Amino acid sequence: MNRNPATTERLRNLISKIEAATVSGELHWERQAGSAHRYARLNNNLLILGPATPVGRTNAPRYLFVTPFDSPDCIEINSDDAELGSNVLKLVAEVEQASQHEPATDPFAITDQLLERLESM
Amino acid sequence: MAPELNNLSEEARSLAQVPLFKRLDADELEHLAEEIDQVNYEAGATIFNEHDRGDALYIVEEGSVRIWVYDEDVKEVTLAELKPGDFFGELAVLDRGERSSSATAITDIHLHRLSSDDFQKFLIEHPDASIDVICEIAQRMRQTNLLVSQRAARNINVTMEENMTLGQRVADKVAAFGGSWTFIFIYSGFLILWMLANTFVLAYMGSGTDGKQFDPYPYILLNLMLSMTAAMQAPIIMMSQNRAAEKDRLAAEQDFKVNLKSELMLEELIRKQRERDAQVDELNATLKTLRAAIDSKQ
Repeated sequence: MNRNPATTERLRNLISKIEAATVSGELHWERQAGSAHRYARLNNNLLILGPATPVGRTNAPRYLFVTPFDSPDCIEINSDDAELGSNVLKLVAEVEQASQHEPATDPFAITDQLLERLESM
Repeated sequence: MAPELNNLSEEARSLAQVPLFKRLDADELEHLAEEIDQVNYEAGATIFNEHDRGDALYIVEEGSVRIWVYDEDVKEVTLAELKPGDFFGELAVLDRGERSSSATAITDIHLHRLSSDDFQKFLIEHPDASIDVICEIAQRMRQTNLLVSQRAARNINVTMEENMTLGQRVADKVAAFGGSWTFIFIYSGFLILWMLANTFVLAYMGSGTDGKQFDPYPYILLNLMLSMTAAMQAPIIMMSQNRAAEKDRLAAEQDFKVNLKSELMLEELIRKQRERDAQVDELNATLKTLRAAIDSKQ
């Protein structure tokens, strides 16, 4: 993909903004059970950090995926991007730090809320 | 700002904001300010190149600086982006060797420049600052190691197909052909021809009991060829399977993104729908009350 310097700079600013929001706690990242995926909602946009492979396994590049909820458009920045890779890795580290004590989201978990709903049928 | 810093010169005051010099008192800051040069660069300007002789340490006062190297594909790889308060160029200053990376101004920048001799003198006089420098270097090494190891995979999702090597393409083709009915028919035909030729056709040609048979029953040469084919095919098919597994992983990753987006959108829509339902219920209740009030007046 060809990317001009101005776009690169805008993407860099976007990552910095996300990172700052993460550090300040303004942006809440959720984590999936059994996966290294992290996701967050920011101004009607979905942010995903992946892939599922653990962050410690360094043979797979990390990515930041940004997509608005009201559009099929998306942006994906990889950690092996020559210009923005280090920014992505820094963001990954910040998000890991911020979300390490978050309870994992498990869609297959048996919750009291779900049981109560089923029992009331 | 501390009261004692108000009496400092402008240069010393700006140095006081630099984390590296946070332990210095007013006199030391003034002394350092005399030794430090102030330099400016425009956005895009090169501060130094990899392999240049390292003669000074730089501290960012204003703007941002990109530290980068060329990778094995001669592509620029950004190692760090430095903001005000960060320093760079310390490695070449410490070992008096060449620069290990290049530095370029991202925006218009203002830097403090401390010569090698002055920096080393500073470290000797302030062991606390030396520890800070070592910690910063260690942290940068960790980041660089992580970046290097992440880049080792080089399997960008989008360009995976474009990045296939000739060997991988051949493996895919061989596996595709080896796993087809065409291959089975051709190979079966070849085997039957071989056996017929060596059992009947060639046996009646030429002289002697075996005629011109080159692989008489039980077809030792044919067995050898079959074994060799199987031995070659197995690793090639496994290579192709590895690639297929990688493709599946990427496809699963793509599915995850789409599913998560859909799930969260649905969640949001359901939430909004519940809000609308609640509003409609509220409006209905108000209408009922109004109707009852009107009916009672009539």
